[in-house]
Amino acid sequence: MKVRKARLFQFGPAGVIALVLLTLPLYADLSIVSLFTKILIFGLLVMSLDLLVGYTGLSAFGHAAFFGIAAYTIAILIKHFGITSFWLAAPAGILMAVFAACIFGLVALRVSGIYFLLITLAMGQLVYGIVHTSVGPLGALTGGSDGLGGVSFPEIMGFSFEAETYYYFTFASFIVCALLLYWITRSPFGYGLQGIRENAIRARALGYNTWLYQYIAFIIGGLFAGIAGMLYVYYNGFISPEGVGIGASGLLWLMLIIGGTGTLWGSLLGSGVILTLQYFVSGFTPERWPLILGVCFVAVIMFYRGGLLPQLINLWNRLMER
Amino acid sequence: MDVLKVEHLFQSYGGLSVLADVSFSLKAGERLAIIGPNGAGKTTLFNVLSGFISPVSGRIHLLGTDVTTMSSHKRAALGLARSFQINSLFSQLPLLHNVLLAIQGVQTSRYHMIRPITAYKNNLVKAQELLELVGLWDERKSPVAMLGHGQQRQVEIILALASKPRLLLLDEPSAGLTAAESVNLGRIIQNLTADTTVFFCAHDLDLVFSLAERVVVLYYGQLVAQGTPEQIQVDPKVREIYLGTEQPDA
Repeated sequence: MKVRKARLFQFGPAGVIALVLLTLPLYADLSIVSLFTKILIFGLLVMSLDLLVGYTGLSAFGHAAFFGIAAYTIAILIKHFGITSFWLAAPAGILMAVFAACIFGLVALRVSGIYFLLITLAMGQLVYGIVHTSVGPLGALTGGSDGLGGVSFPEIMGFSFEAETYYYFTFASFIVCALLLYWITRSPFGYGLQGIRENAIRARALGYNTWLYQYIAFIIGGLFAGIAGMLYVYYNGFISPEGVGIGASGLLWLMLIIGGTGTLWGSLLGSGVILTLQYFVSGFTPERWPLILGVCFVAVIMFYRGGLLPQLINLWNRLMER
Repeated sequence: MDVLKVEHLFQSYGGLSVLADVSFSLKAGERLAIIGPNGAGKTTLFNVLSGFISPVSGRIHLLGTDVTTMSSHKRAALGLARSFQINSLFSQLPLLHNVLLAIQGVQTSRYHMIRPITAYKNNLVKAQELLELVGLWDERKSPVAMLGHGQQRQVEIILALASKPRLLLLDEPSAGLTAAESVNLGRIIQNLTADTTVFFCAHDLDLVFSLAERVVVLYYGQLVAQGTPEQIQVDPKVREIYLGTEQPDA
């Protein structure tokens, strides 16, 4: 009995959250459903970043690039090549993100620490530079600073998605990807990553090819960021350079830090907090949004170092012990 | 066949020669100690043997394979394990996971991504055996950073032993321990390494003479003496290095 009670307390909140997410379209209006679709997509994107930052100890600062590469690939295929089949466009977008991660990882993992951060930042800006080019054939392909639109909700096996059903598609994709990431973090491979984060020299002495581990993690990060990019471009119908560059990568870091690094699920919380705040605040004072974002960030760093999720878990446990 | 064969090893940092023409070998099952004053080059020798530093010249053979330019993790796969003079653990991870990481380091399962690390029952049983030997099984869920220094020293040794290495390098296993703790650790090493080839260095000469079957002496990068513990204890050159020369009466 005691064990069952403990389990209920442990997983209760997660169950309630899952239930709310599952039934959301039944009672919430469309703008809220749309907000939660975005929260799930960015939650997945930030989780893929957490695998690198929190679990492997790699300060990757160009992570939005993989998100953008998948989104742009799909938009280009649909808009310029007329490839509207979900089963062709979506895998192509994700594969391009993985391919980019394979290449970028080879370059970036030649260095570590702050230099790794700078190289990934530079490579993210490289992708930004490419999609931001407004002239020539490249500009025609990507739409330059105007971005690329005209993507509608996908049609899968004869079923045309709409905002509410696409929310469920996103939700299901999120659950599958999040579970995969969760399994990875507690697998032998995942603990290998954490061992490398804690002490790379000891890991090497024990037989771990630390470079290969980091490289595989980098590619897995690119894969799930690509899946998030795929979900996003179908949801948003539009991708612009702002979704790719340093601003976007910085925002992901913000979500990660506010939610809590190395916690995986904190990423969803960080995404939820930031995007919900943005949703309400930018309705009142769009021009003050960056200021408010800055204040939130400073507040979390000063009072809740380690992120909100560990704080909430502590609070919950203390409440339950009473 | 020699488990370890070192031939004419040279190493220098800038102009400073740290290892000068070091040659020795280790037979299977042998327990060899290396002693020498601070700065003699012991830790450098360990780092060269485990692949963290490449020697300037000379060759290292591990179980018949030339490993001179081989990376550390490949040497580990061949059967080499080492401990560190300064605790080198996965501080924030639980003790159990430290040991599991050490056990799976030479298994292909270290790349598996789906089942939890604790679902590998054989490894879990091995980890329990190792931790029970040093009486730390009850602490398995604590991050190792929470353990005392003496316990962390034991974990340091356990991690090196966990993969059942063919050759075990122990760099100052008793560093920072009290005399009593050191005796206890010596007993643990004695029990755990009965059929392992061990090469270790230590300042604690009691530990050296109780554990080692053979001793080599390193002095300013050169091997100046070798022999059984009894021979080394009476070797005039070693006595000179450790005790200094007698001053003629004024």
